[in-house]
Amino acid sequence: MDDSNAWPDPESERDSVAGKPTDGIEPGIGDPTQWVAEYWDSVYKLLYRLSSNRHDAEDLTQETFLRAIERQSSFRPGTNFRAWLMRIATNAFLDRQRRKKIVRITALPDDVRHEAPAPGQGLEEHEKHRSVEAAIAELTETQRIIFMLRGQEELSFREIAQVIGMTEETARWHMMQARRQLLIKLDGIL
Amino acid sequence: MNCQEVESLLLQSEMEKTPDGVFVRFAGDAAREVADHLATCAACSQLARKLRRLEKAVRSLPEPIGMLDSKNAFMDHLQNVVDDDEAAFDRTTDRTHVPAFTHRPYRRRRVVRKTNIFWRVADSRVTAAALVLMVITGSIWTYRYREEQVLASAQALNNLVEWNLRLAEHNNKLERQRLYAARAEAERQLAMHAHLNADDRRQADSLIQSGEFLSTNEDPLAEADHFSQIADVLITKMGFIATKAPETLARFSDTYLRVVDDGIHKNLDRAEASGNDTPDTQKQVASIDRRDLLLQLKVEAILEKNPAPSQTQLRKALAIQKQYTEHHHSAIKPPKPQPAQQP
Repeated sequence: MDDSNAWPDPESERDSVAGKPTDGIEPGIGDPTQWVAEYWDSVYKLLYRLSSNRHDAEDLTQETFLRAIERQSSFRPGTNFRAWLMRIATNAFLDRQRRKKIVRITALPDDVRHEAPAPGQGLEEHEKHRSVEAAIAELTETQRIIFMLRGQEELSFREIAQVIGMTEETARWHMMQARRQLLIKLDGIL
Repeated sequence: MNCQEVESLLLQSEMEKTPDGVFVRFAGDAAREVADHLATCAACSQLARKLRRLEKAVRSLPEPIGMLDSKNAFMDHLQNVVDDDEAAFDRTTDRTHVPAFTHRPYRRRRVVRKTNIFWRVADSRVTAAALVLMVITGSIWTYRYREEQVLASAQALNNLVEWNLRLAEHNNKLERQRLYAARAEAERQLAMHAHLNADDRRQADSLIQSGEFLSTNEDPLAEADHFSQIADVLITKMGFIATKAPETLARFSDTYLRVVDDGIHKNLDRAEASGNDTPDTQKQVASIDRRDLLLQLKVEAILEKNPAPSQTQLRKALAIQKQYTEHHHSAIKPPKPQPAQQP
């Protein structure tokens, strides 16, 4: 459906604006394998987009869940578990960056990112995805984190600010910069 | 609402995917005002469409490679750990506690006890305490030495920045060249003998080369850009020394103020007055403005950690930057705080 003219009614939009509910899983009650089953994909995707590297994404995702299991007592029941997990994931990524002491992420030489199109996926669509991924990889670290937490994980800016440790206004500002850059880079491609 | 405000709001909005498409969420009455503007403005409507397409493209990115395999492998590992340790399941309370993964199996080493006097002394608690003290003292000394090295390194860079500023002070090109020729070699020697780490060495070399650039440059915009980058280097150094050496921070703050005032903003004013307003110069100005905005955030962060009244120069620099942003490029300033939303 073409949504180019679809704008929500402000009243219904206001009614639908609600804080993120908790995801219903509380550590200590569920099996950690449930957390992995439910959240592994989200965490992996986030870390893959941040690191642009399969090996780092695997390591960091494992590290995230190990840390979550070890620190489950620090989770406050009733708050957003997904956001808590994303915070651990983001910190794991940033810790690794500090250890690596690099500014821009570069893929490992043997990390094949140019995989063939998936079955049923047109070449044009495949090229578009590659362009989007490349453009995201060129954002600064902070912009990339905020953009992916919002675009992929749909955390609110308030939650994003808590994850990264900045004000909501600053998070929005970084998002503005990220979107501006992406729109420039992907002009004519989207 | 004008186009700049709508653009700013759109670029900072929370976009959500629903079954009907991607929608934009705004706070309060902004949604209606934006909708009204978009109904009449083709450019902003196009921006909104592009943003939606961007969001859809991101959300439709294919699954990254290795996701399922790594998940299955980790699940198996997790299950093995749980299965191996029956005590992990507390059936009486129906709560599952997974042991920390730091409990890894280890090999016991065969301990051979020594009976001579040396080992008896080594076993003594006093000796152990003395060793610990030595390690701590050594660590503190090493840390302090490194800290002093970093401060000295930062000081050397500050001196080079001040040299750049002195060169840029003169409007007369011949005077600049004379000053450069008189001083370049001495500055090079000083930098060579300073104890600089690899990053600072690169910065120092860059500042010496930029001396040559300043001695011949007549483009105020290029100069503003140059000093904008220098300001970034300075503020990074200041972030480190803010809590370590307040007296050194005061001197850096003084240099920073001069960089911001004379190096950046007066040159921007000169560039504006020259009337050279091409798309390239606009891009350059926009880039300087964005960097300026980031610098403001960094200065605020330093002042937050170190709000001493001696930070007058930093506050003056910040005021100059904010005033410029207010009057010249309001489109890129950070958004005003939104009213608190109920969860």
